[in-house]
Amino acid sequence: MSEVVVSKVTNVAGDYFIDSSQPGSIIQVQAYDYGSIYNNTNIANKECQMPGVLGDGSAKIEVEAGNRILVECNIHNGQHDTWRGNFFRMYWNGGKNDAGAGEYVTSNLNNNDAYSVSNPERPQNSLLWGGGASFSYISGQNGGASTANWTILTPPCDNAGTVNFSLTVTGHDNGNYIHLNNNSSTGSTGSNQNNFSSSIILKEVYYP
Amino acid sequence: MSTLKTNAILRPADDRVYFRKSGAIVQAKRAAYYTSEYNNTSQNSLYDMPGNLGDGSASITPYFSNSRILFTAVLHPGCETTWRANFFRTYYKIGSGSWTQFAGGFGSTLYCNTDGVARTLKSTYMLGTLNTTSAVYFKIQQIGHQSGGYLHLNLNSTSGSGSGNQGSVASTIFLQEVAQ
Repeated sequence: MSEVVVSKVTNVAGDYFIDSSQPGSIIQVQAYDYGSIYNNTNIANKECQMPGVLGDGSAKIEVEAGNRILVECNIHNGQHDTWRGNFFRMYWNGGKNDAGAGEYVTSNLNNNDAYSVSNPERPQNSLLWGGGASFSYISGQNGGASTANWTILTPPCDNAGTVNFSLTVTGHDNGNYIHLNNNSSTGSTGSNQNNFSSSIILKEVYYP
Repeated sequence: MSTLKTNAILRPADDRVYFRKSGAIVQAKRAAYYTSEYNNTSQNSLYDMPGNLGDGSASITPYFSNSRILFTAVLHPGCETTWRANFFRTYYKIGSGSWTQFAGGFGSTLYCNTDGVARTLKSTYMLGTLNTTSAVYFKIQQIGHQSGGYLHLNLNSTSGSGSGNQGSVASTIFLQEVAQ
């Protein structure tokens, strides 16, 4: 087998890189979607696993050691009278995280012993500075929705191989339920009228 | 001119990937709408979004038939007292074919006892393989909540004006081809 070894690949004029050898280049994209309606009325000040692929750790990407992952979360939060305020945390197993490590242990949430997220699913140093939040308020009406979209860049991955991600949700103490993907122009509390699908999108970013 | 074809380029010594066709973003397109738009008939009624957000002119032509398209919408809905709830549906069509709705829909809810506030709304969805190298067109439709569903696109004002785009915002569709 012949082999071509290069340090860069450019266009014919030599003024434009067409490889991904520059730090920060995206070399692959993966996406994971959850399109069902998910209601949970027991998340007041309590951290719970998000449903399906969003929370079970099966959102994954195969990476090279040292590369980082650009993580985009796209979460559609339905609203029921009067308001909903939800907070999201992102966990990974790609390496140590020097920010926010183990925060749940010293959390001021008052239901630490009632989490539905078990310790193996949120081991030490797995919590990323990658949370998000959503808020919707309509007095006397149902069916509203707010799309929360946020992006984070992870620290470098410790090892080559699969890196998994999972999201949890914690509801505000007073406006706590989650109605994922629920939306309706007529105020229905059980409709995904406009075909929402919440997702995690993972992009491997080259870091030499 | 010579041409070298490959599916991957590796770094010398440790074979770290510089480039791999599978998963690479190989092109990006953008369509933007700069005008402010007010629609007071969209309560529980479905409309195409204005301009190239909804007229089907936003498009991308895949280089590879098995590519996936990463669809991103960035909209700027405004609000007037008391509240607005808007929902957005997403569609694609291949060439001169029919529109197909995909699961890229998204929503916005705003509540404020004064006029002029706004939010920036971003939503992303990655479509499956479309098996085409023809142009793929995209559009967004909007429908408002039956009781507070007016649309105030690109409208924002620090002084509560209902007609300004003080922040110079533009609502956009981004399309990226992801090779497989």
